[in-house]
Amino acid sequence: MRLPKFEYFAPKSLKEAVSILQNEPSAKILAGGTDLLVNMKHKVECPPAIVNIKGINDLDYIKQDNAAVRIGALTTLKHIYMTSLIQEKLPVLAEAASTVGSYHHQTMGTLAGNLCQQNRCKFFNQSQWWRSARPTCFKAGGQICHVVNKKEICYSSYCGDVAPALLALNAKILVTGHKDSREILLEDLFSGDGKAPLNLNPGEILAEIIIALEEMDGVSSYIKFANRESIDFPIVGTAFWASMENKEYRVAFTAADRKPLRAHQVEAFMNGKNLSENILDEASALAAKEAKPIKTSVYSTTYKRRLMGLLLKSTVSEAMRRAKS
Amino acid sequence: MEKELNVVGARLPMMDAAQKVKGTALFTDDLILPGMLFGKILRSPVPHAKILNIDTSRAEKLPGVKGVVTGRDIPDRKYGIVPMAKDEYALAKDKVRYIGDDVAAVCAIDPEIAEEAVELIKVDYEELPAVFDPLEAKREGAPEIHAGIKNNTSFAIRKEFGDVRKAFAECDAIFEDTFYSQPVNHAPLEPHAALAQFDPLNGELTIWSSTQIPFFLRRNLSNTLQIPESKVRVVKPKVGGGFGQKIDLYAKDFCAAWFAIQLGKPVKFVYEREEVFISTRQRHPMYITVKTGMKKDGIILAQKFQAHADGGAYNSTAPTMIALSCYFLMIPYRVPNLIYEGYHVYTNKPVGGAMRGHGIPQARFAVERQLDMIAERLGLDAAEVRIKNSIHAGEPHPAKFIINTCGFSDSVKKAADAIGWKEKRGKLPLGRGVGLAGASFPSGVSNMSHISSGAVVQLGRDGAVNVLSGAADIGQGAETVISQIVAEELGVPIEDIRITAADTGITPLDPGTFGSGVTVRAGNAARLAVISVKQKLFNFIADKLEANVADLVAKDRNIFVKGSPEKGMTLSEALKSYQYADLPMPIVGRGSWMAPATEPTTLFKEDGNFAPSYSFMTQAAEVDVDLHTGKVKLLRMVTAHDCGRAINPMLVEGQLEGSVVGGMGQALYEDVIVEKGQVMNPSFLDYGFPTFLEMPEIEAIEVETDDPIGPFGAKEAGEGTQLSPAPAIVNAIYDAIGVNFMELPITPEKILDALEEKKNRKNSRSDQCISHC
Repeated sequence: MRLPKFEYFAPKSLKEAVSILQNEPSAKILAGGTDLLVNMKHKVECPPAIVNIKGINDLDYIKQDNAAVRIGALTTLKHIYMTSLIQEKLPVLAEAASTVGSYHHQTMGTLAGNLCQQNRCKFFNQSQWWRSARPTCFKAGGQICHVVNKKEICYSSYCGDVAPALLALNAKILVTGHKDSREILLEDLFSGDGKAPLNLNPGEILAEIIIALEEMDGVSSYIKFANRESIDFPIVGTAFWASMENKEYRVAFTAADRKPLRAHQVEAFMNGKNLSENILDEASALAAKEAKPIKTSVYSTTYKRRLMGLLLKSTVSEAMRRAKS
Repeated sequence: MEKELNVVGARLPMMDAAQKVKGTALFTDDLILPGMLFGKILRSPVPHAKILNIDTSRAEKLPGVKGVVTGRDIPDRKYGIVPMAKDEYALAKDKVRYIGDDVAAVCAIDPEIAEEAVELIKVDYEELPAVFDPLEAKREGAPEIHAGIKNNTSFAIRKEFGDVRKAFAECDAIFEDTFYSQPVNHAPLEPHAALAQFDPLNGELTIWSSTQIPFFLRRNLSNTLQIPESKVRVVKPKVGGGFGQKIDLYAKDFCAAWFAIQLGKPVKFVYEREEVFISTRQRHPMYITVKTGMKKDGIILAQKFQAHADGGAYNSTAPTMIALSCYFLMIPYRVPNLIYEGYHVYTNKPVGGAMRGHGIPQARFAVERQLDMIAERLGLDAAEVRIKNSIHAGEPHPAKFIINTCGFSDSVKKAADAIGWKEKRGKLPLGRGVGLAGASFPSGVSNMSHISSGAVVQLGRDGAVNVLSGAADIGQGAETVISQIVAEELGVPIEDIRITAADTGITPLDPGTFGSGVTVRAGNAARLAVISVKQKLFNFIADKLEANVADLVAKDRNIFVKGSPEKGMTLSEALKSYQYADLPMPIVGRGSWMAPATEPTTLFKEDGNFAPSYSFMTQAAEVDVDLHTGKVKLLRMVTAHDCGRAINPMLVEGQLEGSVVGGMGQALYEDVIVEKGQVMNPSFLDYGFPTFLEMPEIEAIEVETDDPIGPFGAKEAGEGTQLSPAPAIVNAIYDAIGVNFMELPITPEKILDALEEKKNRKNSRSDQCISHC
């Protein structure tokens, strides 16, 4: 399949990239390309311009200062899970990065690219010819959502593996724009709107991911449930982080809604409690209610809800096991 | 056979294995010709419609476009892989019948322009009501998909063997159950491709195609293009898997040839993966009802079998598929009385075709599942029931099959032992279980027309043994097996063999790769050819050595008198003196072979011995079912297989491993999901077949028999092993969680739903005994 035509830019600095994006508000940023290029071949994304940021120096790093672990936007997923600091102190992130797609995706895909991946839907991730059998869907530029058969709404699902891990770590991101840079909670990056899943202004680039040092004192785990071990997107993915002494817990899900979700109600219920079997049963029941899965893939929503509760228990017991050892 | 063998029976890697691993093997898409153009096909976005008009003007005007063709331009010649079932044009003429139907094609200077041009073709459709289920399509008043085909039923057979009414009356217990087997895609790694070249000076067309049957493709191209068969040359490059999906002619073959002829330039077509999923072939989805009558002790007296195959939009192999699903109910078990009713019904969906096992896997799923269910109801051991009902060599057969060798009951015993049947069946903790299932498959086809193979072996002074064979190696290793047979017979190592295979302009006639007949048919032809060469050489040497021809043997590149290795000479010396005696070189041997047959029987109308020999096998599975997530892990799969003598045990194991993964795909993972006629998962990602990481531990057990017909006693090992992994896995799931699944595939969701239902309605049983049991 061919790529639609586009203008190509290869800036050498963030500043230059930002200024190109200012002039070309519909341009798309290219990093690993594992998500964007597939969508372009399917012609569900046809940006007039591509800004390849791979040539920008100093965006591929994992470093630690007095306050935080900072990870550059272009750090590959493989680099992340091969780094011992991440493996030992932030296992939830290493696990999530190592389950993305196949090995090839992990060597090409970048951390920021993975976070900013497009939402997915069985009516959207198809070739142009395939989609021509139905009216164009809202996300691809038409009117209708075929999943719910309603106009001007999009229920596509966010399916990234790394976002829930970073949500459980309460990560922040550094967004670089024309005038200045802003630091926001990762959670605020995601809009919950299937049509435009990211809260980024035109000309803004996600430059850095920031994890506060105290997150390393907690225990954590990510469990992905997928059809096959080798390559698939999650049917549901669940991340868990806990500070055992403070009885503080964080839970996040992916592939269950239009954005990766922090399960705030579940957390509120769990916080301050010892995680007994009864408490976990109740938390699992709550978890299933926290998201609104819609049938955007071949897997039923009932099954996804069931898995959310199950995976919560599994991640908790894995994290507890780690706390003990 | 006590004769010592050197090359036959050896675990040799495929002759082209290193090339393939290195990436230097040339598949159709690797071939490049000067001035080559690229084609692309426009496909229907509607499931059922009249074509009112096709406007190609915008496509034609696009710079770089060299040609456009639509159904109205091509000869009025229908195509079909089975001559009696032709119902398809290379490009639709007046109607489209499924989403993906071939409508028009474009040829341009690069693939990108061709793709763009296809989008510029405007087709006006008048949409017609569509039907997506065979049971609905068969009803009165359903939309008519092909003019004049009543109830959309393009093939129906009803056959009775024995006296079924009487037999059912004598049964102690009768059971009736209904099953459904889903559509499965072959998903060969190499997508379908063709490259055609035409020489306008001599009118000769050459086409390189990823095909399983070069000689059928030659005939079908000749027929659809209306050019003489003598002017069509089909060359088969390396083929990356077929599994039955590459036996048909496709629009890519026809259109590549069409444009090459029209434009005098080479033209290449390569399908996208999406096209492979939607617009080639798939295993027929099938609704099956089986009624089985037994004596108390588990002996089968009678069966009534009704099958509705969802054919999709066209026939492809419809009559053959229906016939196979019927006749192979009477093997590997003794079913003395049988009524079979089979229907092939059109729907507005992707087309069903031959796929590894061809109509039999669906039937085996139903029968092997029901045998387990019956054994449970009658309190019998499921392995014992299979052994009791096993047919044996030499027995009379209700459909007149001739069974020369049969290792079936032995295979049940060996598979059961290896999986730990006695210790495990019914005794493992909840969530763990074992199950088994049996099957049989023909080693090729005896009685249909054109089913013979030829081979030529040439021996020159250089010592190289040149073999010409029409056999189509599509990755299974046919060329290696044939070379092993030639090397064994001539007493040389396999490195001395140079094989040229499957070029209709050079190699002798061969029916290609289908029906699991290559080793027996093409292997026997090659063996006859090399024996003829050897005899010519022996006749000459015998004089020199003053020995009897009958006493000479060829071994280790030497020819000598049996028992006295010192009385002989090297092959090289023999050839040198042959030439120096002014005898003509090369020494040429020819062989052709077809299965012995008393009368030309097709099974469509008459019974008869379908195949030269039959393979037998039992597969046993051990599964672990995660009671929380519903995921089934296939832990272990044992295959006890009677494939006669294995010419190359390593290649047989390769076939077994592929079969196990294919079977677990059918049982647990794969389903071509269709909504309103549209395939929802036409990619490797969304289709989700099992990969290397899902593979179980595999154990292969040989049940060796020495078949009198196959070369060196060989029988088939390609398709048969694909028949019973799926029911074995599903039977193991029953053992693990006590749920009888009647429909494939068994996804984690279905497992959880079933477990819940079981909890809710502990005492009600969905299965039923309809008689006095």
